[in-house]
Amino acid sequence: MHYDSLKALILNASYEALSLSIKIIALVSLLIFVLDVIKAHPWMQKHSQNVNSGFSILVGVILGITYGAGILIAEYEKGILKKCEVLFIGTYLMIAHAMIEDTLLFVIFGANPWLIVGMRLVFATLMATLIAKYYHRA
Amino acid sequence: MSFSFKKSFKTALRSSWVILKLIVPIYILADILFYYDLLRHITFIFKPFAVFLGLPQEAALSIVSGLFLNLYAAIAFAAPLGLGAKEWTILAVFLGIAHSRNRNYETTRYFAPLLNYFAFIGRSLRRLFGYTDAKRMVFFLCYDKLRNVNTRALRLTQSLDP
Repeated sequence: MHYDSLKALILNASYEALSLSIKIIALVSLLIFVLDVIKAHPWMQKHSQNVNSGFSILVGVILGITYGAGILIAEYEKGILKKCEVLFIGTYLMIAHAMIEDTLLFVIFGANPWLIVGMRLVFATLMATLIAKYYHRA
Repeated sequence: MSFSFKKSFKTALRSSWVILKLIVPIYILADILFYYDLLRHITFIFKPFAVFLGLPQEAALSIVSGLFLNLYAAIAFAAPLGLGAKEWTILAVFLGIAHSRNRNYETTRYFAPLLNYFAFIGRSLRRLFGYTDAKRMVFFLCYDKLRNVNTRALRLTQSLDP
């Protein structure tokens, strides 16, 4: 593409930037509302009180690492999880957290969502197992 | 805590404003750099890393800003380049794992007083709070974020140190 002047370039860039921002804002706002609805659901509140160890992984993968980590800490302090389990879950979440929002952000440009999610899940399982095993040995 | 439309709306508004402030300037800057071929001179240092990932050299800025700034900054740097679906997938997997999240959104209540102070000084200082060391990608990053959720987690991270 060829622009006549710097001003034309900047104008075109601003237009594209604004349209991209609007797309991302729409996506992010929608996700915020949906995730807030999920967070406020009574099932969620009930499970926050008496959690089992699979819950923090689920929350971290779907909602985002901050919430997953919060639940993870709560579970650890309640004594439900041991240190090595926390390490496993932590590594798992690090690699595969907030899958929905992050992948959707890239899907609007044409990335392949199945590949992204699949690769991150496989990689997370692999790395978390390896690290947990190494921690046990060390 | 039950669902409150007004609260979610305010969160969405706040996020939207941050996104707008981030994406528009960075996109324009990246487009100018890309059009005048200046990106090559800036990113030649990162070229081996980008080639290792299978991305063109210009995407290096996107990777770096995703590691140190924000996921949205990385998208804004990568958007004007006209990458294909395969490159976007590579970026998505890499940045999805290793991006530094701006801690304003959820953990504002812990940092709000400090942030109000630094917000007047400049955005570059705020980068310090969003900064996450890229070398600590695999699990140090994880308990770096754990620390910010709850200060009691500091004991947890100290006990987790191998």
